[in-house]
Amino acid sequence: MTRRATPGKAARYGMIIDLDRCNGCGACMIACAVENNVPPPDAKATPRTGLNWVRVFRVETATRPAFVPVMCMQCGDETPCVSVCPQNAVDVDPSTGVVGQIPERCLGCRYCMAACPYQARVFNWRDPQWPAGMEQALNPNVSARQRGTVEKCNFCHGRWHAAVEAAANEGKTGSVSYTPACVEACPAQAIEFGDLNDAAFAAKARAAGAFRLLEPLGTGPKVYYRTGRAEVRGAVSGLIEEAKNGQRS
Amino acid sequence: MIRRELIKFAGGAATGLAFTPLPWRLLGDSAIWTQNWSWMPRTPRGEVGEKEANCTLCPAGCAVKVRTCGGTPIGVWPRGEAMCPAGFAGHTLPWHPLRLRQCLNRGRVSSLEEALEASRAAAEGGLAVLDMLPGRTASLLHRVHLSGIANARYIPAPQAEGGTARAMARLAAGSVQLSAELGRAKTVLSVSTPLLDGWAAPRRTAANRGFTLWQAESWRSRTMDLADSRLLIRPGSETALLLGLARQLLQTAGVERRARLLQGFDQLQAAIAHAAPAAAAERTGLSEDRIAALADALLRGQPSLVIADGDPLGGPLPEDARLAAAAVNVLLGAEAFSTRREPPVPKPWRCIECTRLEQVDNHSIGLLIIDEPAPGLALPWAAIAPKLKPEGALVVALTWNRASYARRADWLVPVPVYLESAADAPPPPDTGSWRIAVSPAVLNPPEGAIAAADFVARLAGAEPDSAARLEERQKLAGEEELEAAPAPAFTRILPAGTDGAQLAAAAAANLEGPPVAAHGWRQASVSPLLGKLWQEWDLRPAPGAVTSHPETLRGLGWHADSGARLESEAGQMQVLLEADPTAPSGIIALSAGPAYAQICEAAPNGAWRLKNPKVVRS
Repeated sequence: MTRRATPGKAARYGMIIDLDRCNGCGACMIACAVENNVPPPDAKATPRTGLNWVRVFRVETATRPAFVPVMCMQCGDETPCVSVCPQNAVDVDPSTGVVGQIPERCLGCRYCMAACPYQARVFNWRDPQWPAGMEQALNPNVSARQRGTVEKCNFCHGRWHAAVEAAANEGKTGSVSYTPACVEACPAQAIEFGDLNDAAFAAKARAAGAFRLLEPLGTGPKVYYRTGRAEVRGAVSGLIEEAKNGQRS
Repeated sequence: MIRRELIKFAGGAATGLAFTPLPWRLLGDSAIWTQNWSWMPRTPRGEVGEKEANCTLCPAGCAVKVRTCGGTPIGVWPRGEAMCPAGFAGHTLPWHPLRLRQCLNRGRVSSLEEALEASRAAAEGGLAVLDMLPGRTASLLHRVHLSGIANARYIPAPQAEGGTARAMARLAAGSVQLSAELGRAKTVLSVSTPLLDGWAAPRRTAANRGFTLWQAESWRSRTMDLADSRLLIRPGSETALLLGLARQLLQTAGVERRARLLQGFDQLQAAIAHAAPAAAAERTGLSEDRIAALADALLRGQPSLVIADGDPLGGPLPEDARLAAAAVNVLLGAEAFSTRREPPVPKPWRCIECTRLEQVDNHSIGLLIIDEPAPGLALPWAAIAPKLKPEGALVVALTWNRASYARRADWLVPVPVYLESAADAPPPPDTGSWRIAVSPAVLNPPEGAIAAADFVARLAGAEPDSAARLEERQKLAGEEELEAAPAPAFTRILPAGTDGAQLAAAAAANLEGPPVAAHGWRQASVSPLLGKLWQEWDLRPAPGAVTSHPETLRGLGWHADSGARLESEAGQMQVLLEADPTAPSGIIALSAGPAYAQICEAAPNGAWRLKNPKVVRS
């Protein structure tokens, strides 16, 4: 279900990922897992059955490989996962533009996974488990999701909540500024996060060399990529095609 | 009301109920209820706080913030700088499935007092402490406490002493310690060293890398992928490449004129006499033009730096490669090397000298204490075993885990891990500036755990006081005034006693066994969360993975995606064979991990090698 945003007050959070800077270290994946209480992989986990809200694809090019972090694109215009969910478990937050996943409502039909052209959603095939004692180190702001539900990146909703609370305590309302875990973690400073309603940030997203994945589908993703290497852009398009055709999960 | 009306009302109500929010409410409530099964992990509750610290999991010592909830760490985040993936999962180390929590005597639960008693008895036969991570305050305290024990030795782990920088220090005037500073170099040649993958701090290699990197390696490592220029060489041909490079450099007039003034020039000439461009090209698999282009790039992009340290888990490069790298650095002017300043030692501390492992006589150690404070440290057991007395020698591993020395040590004694005690990181290899990077104690260590320095203190009859001593040293470091570090002057081009002909022979020697390129990510075993990097998304080869070109696998009669056992004379390890069409043909890339060290032997030239290895289908 998509609700209308309150004009003038809502934010439209988005990301710009510089592919020329990403070195594929995986710090974003681990930081995301720590922040959002994503459990360690099962011994038999595969890219299909494991849980990762951020995945880093390695893309071979003629010169040297490029690394492409892919998470939920937070589609803005025609959000495929929202329109197919029979449970209203997927929702676009009008105040942030973030596509939220509500595990309490999710019945695990996985229509949203089938509908997502970016393969950005993951399914909980088992109850979350941590080695004995490690649950003491979970993030208290994010609850663990049970088996049979779908989950995905939500631009660190827990952090956004904390930022909103802090702003409210200071008497401020409306768009708040915060940093998702992957952005804070990236040692190469390849990920930028901001409000696309902010003219300066939006200009960066539209700068030369910037592109979005599967733009012709008209889903209006709010994650932008940037590279000065034409071959990387070509290879990234191929990568998504492979994923769609099932050659790559 | 007649019966018919009652039934109509009930039927209508039942039908109408389906169109009210009630069923949805019931569905929603039951879904929420099922979110709270008793077996679902509960997130912690308590006051959320933040502490400043340094990550002490590796020498990079990155500045971090530790977030806590009710006093328990719930996350580690960079403090204005960068961190590696292991750093983000470091706070979960205390709950690692392999974590040692009790003293074990050959697998039997025992007490610390019993371990101390057994150690005291065995120490009479000669005591040695093998420090797997030298350079910490705990390392100094070992030396302080051992000074009170007769016939005691302190042995730093050989591969932790530094490779190229140590070889360079032997060429400089006076007795100095040197470090290779990436920040001062414009062009870097890394030879089989994971320069961008754990060798240096992420803050110096990720966001603002200020140098052009040439990576020479025999498999497609992460550093190779990220390098500006890639040189795929044959395994074991590092010395040949460096000697060929030295020969190319000496063809430049200015370089030769400067080199002639240094001692050892004749030995270098003797060595490179055999490294003709064609020979070096044949040995390395590179073209002559490529080696010439490399020499040209290093000369044009000065200050240049050549690093040939090897991989911490795949094994150090042989001594001859390190010497050749040092010679090339001297030819290039060695401007990126600076005097390494060690953090100060409080004056009252009396430390015994360090003894190198090769200086220890065979069969001379009655009690060997192995201090293994962090994950991912390795040394072949075959290098240690000959030093032990054949009868009655006792091995005590002061360790965090139940894996690495469990099969070898008589006693496993648990030590506090990262964030369980105040500890410092050793000085990083890529900077000459000194500092003490301290992590405070946030958690309580398990009952029965003892700091390694305190164990040795009790053995020496002293009071355990490692936390107070760390504070003392940290305070002194804060008060110490910086002096301008003098630039090192290089008077030699090869260390005294180096035989040029032997160097050339080493470069031309044939490889023994299959062309195995072993490698490893030292921080791989910090947390089960890191499994995501390879298991779910294949971003790194998993520990134990053997990656090779499909044709190479076929040629060896091996099958991809099958389990196998790698056996050598020293032991065996489980591996998984994987085909990678992008892998170089003819090379077997083994993601090693500490288990690999245990099946290797340490060669006299310092390298690790598999002796008569074979792969058996399991």
